[in-house]
Amino acid sequence: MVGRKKLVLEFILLILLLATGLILGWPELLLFSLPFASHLLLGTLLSREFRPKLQAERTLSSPRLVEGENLSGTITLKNRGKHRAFVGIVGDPPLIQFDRVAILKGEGELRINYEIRPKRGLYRLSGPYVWAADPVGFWVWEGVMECQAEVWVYPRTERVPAPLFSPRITLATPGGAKSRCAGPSGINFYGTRPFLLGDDPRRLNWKALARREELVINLYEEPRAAVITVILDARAEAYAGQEELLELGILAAGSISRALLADGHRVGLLVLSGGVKWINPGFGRHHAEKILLTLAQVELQPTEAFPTLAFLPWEYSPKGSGIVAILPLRKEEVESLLSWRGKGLELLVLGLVPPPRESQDELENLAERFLRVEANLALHRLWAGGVRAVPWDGKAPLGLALRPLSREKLWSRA
Amino acid sequence: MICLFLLGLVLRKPGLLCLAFFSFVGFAIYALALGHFVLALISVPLGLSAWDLGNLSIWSKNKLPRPAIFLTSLLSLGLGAVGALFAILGKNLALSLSSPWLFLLGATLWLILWLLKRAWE
Repeated sequence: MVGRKKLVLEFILLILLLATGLILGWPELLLFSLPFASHLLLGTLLSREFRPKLQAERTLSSPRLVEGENLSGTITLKNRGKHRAFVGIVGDPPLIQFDRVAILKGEGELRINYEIRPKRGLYRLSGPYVWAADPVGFWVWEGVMECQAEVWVYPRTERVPAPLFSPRITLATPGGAKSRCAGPSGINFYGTRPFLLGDDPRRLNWKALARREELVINLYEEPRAAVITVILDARAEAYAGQEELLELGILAAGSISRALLADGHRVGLLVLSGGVKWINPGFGRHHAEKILLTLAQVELQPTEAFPTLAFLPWEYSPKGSGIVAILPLRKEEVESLLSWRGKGLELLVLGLVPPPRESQDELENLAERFLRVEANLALHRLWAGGVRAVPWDGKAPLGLALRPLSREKLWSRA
Repeated sequence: MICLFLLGLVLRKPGLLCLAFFSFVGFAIYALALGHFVLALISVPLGLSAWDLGNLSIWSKNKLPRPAIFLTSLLSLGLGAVGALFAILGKNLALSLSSPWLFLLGATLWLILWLLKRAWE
């Protein structure tokens, strides 16, 4: 009990003592009340001088960092007043929780250093909660000291090869997608065709002329940029019992988005959780940052709007574009994924599967084997439907899992 | 009572300190009834000290640092001691105290007030 309540209680006690002394005619009791009176009066008078001017300052090693990096911060509480004060400081939620009590002299300061390794997310720090009291507790102040800051913790990404796309429609700008329109101009050799009037004679294939004794010209293809949508499934229902897979999905979405952007594509992001979080296709470093910031805030949420992926509106993916779907491999989603391919979108699936775990319980082992068989079945059905799909359990590097879908693999086969 | 108070101080338990306050005040009233006026007045500042420390500890929801305990107990004792000295002075004035005693009491009072002021700053 401090502040006004304490003042009132002590005053009542003093009045009671005085009244009892007067009623009983007991002068010693009246004199006995003097220590209480001096404590109350002198304490109140001295606490009137006590008005600490507190000020909080915050420094952070970096407002933007990647998950796994260390963040060191300092909160400094300064007493700009003349008198000493008891201060308690509670902060810095939601990033860290600390609770300190100290005496701050006039013009003194309390410095609190911390070093943490925050999880991915966007942290909005309002300021520490501070209370201050005079040493006897007749005057108190408590509230939040304003020193706002924002800390962005991006999800971790890996350097991976960009998956190879050859969508039906490509953009005019150069990129990593294999263009389906071959012509006399371009970079990569595509094939040959008989010479037609108007063709550039500099493109003649002299070796073919020597063999066939007819004019043949070379055809080239030009890698073009494409619009590619990365879809991350974050519905709680899809991850039932295997919530740890979401982190793998976020890592994969971030890594693939960065690789596609580096390859020159226009990349959009669609996160399916409680609702739909959508980032329009774009390019550049700022766009990559935007995607990573969205991924940093992804959480598993139940949804009623999208019981299966078949309910996803098609307006998000332009006709003839590419899609990278990152989701737990479940048999329930196979039909939806096959229907996407039927709509003329080039689909690539990264199926998240839980890593193998050896349990002591035979029933658990059996259940896990069933889950694995089910995932494999879903994978084979996707392959049979012409969808390029790979499983990933997080044990091997993501780049290795994506290798079958990347350009390097195709080129080495060729 | 003294043990209770000291135990509360050392262990920094607000509950023990508040218990010590009520014990001191109860004892002071009992001593007063028996006619031990000075003994009653000595126990009051100690009780007030326990009261202030206990309240601050309960309110801060955190263990007070040792310098804070020292400062608060010193201030509370001083504030109570001023009143106790006034009470002794008042009682002895009625008994027509000699001049040297009056001077000594006055000097002690001034010293306590001066120390209080310094401690506060």
